[in-house]
Amino acid sequence: MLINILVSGVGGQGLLTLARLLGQAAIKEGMKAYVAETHGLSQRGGSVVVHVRIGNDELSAPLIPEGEVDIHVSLELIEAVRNISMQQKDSILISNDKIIRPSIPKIVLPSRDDLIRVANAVKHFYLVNASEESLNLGNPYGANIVLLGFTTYILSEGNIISKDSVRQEVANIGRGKVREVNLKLFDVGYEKASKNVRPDTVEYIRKKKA
Amino acid sequence: MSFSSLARLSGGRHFLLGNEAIARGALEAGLGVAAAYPGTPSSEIVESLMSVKDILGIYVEWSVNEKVAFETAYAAAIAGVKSLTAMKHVGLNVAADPFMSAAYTGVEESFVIVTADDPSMHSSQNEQDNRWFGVHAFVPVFEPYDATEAKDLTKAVFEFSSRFKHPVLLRTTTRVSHTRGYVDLGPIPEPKVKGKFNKEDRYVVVPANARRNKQRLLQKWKEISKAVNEFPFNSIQGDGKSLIVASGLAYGYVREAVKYLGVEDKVKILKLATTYPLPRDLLLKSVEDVENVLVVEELDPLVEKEVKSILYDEGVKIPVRGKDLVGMEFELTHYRVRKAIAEFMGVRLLSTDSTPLTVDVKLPPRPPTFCPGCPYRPFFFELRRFLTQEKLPYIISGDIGCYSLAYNPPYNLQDVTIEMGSSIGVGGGLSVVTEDVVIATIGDSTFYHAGLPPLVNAVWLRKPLITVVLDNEVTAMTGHQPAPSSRRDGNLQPILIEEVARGIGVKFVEVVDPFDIKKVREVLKKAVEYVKTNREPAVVVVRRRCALEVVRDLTRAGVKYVTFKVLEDKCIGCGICYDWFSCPAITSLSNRKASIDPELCVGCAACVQVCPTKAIVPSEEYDQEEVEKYWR
Repeated sequence: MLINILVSGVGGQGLLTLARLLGQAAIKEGMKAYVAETHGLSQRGGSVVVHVRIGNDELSAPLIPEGEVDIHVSLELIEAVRNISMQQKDSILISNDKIIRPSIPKIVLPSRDDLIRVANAVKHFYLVNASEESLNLGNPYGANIVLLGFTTYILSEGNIISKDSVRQEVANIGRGKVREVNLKLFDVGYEKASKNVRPDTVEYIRKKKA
Repeated sequence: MSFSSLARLSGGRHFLLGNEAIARGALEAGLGVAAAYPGTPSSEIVESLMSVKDILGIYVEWSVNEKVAFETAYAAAIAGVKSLTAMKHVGLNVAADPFMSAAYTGVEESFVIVTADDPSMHSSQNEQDNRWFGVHAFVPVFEPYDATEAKDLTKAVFEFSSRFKHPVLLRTTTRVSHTRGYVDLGPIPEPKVKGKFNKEDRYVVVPANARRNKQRLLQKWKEISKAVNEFPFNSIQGDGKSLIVASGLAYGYVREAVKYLGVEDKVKILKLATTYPLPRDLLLKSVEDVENVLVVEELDPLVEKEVKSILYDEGVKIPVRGKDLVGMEFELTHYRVRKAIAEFMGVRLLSTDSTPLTVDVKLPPRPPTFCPGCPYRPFFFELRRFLTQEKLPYIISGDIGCYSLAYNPPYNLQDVTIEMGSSIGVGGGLSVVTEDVVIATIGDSTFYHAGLPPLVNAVWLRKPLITVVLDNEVTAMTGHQPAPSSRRDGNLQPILIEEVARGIGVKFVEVVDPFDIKKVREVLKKAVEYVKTNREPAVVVVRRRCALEVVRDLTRAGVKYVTFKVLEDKCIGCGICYDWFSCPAITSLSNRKASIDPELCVGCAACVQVCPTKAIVPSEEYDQEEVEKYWR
């Protein structure tokens, strides 16, 4: 069994937390996992990718081979499309419905429609309004946890990691109000997935498990 | 769980970064002293140790630079206390002087030097392979392949160092340091933090002693070269007529690639954790009945050259391949390793059954940039305006730190940047050989790291140089380690840059708040005038706290801060705020008007003064005075 999850986005959006919680949950369930992070210079508002690999003892290298991403979770639409070449047509792409303008003068941004059109070439593409949901819950920085909830639904239905394991990891960060809001964000994402994710998407992951 | 919460735990499996695993291994080996200067990808090692120093009663310091850190840890080791220093690859250049002699003198207890190399230069200026330092200095080199192994290997190299009373080099690369893996915790013994220094001649490297040291060193080197054959982290795996030698991280890629290519039954793997000296006997054993050899390693062909040399010595005539198939630059990838092994084994590398996804929209690049609220942004914004409007011929001599990002548009304000502290040294040189206004820009931490000697040089020799110290009171880029300039670091007294400058004889010294753009312009103008007239150095300290720290402190203290918004009817769509001030939180709407993203804005208010129509205002009322206290 080997599941390759690529997390992409803009430095500062909470990619590392999302990835670490997934890996941690996998470890707790007795699997092997790697999370290859990006630190330092590459974090300052630039394009960032984090590689998450979950598997058994045969797993021994940190990066995902080119084109072998099973699930691509993106915190931002331009970054989702930028890294789309890491995956195949029949894989999964979950993207936040959010565009962050690179701070470069006179830049021309691609339109949201164009980006979605390209992303739609991936068979299992899900556009999630994670930033909006997060703002609605009074936390402008929680889109990562909403997407974690969404991704967890697919992984738990695909019998990779249980919902409880990941939710427990979310519960372990912060206390009081922070903890409460995080769990709510996670549940919102999970709920959203349970309503929108198609059976053939779950089937795709189940096959990976086999 | 945080690293510090594991300090009292033994047993159990946790998910740690390679760097955290190294820190844990050091603690389990009985570490007493650690010292470092931060640098990606090494920083989390000593950061982790720092987080447990009070719990475990060990001594840990952030030193001003790698040389001093090295000397601090070396001192502990010669006084019988197990110690560690960690640095990024180029940091070892700074510590190279004591490093070269440390092997000559030897030590009394474990002394582990971690070098974190950065293939592909994710956060660095070059990708030097620091294993050569081991060759150069007669220091054995060890390489773990993942976090799990890193913990146990670190523990083992402490023992190795203690056994031979010799420094050892533990080399990681970015993907080892910054990849998380599972780590099974062992017990942490009661650390010994106080030692006794036994005075011996070998520690005074005057020529007569140095000669004896060299001979002793070579004798010890023979013993070390023998011992690595028994080192348990090296192994021969599988069997076949072809041998693949893989060191450190390369082992992980090789292991996956041989399975991917279906050649598992045809190859033998020599997994190496000791890359220098190479375990000669083990290598010779592994080449028995082998027809060809492939060496896979990250960066330079160090193992490859050693393998070739040993086989030549022994008269073993089999082809040895390596960099000709794997390539020498940048980090390893699955594709590179698969392709190299496929060619080596004479099998086809099938392309994945892919239907390539086409991207027919033009994507804008997204280089790293100053964070929202960064005090450097308004300074460089105004410097750019000043130089352009005054039509001054200028050279910006830059340095290593967050302000290196001023290289990017719209600022384009780094003309030469080569290493820590170079802004003032190179800037001083340029001020002598050119007629341009030369401005050195350097951060506070970098100033104390390597900026002092060149500034003394410039003052002494009266060089017409403007030095701007961007003082955000912390080593920001590497994760907010304290620097001598930090005013909020417990009981330590800050060393103010303006006082240092005055103390060494700089006559023009000004301190300015970068959020006061008008004042920034005034000071710049005065400094240019001063240097032109007096032909001697001027120093400008630009001081405001790193925004990431401010936001963290505000959040911890529960102080309400607000985001800002653009009044649409007042905005004239001039684009100054998003194109030239260039804050990531400010975006442009289709009608060219500005809009502020509440997900990114940190409420610093710096943009308010760049707007010509006063269209930027707080989104709600807040206690401005209270919030401002945190920013200062």
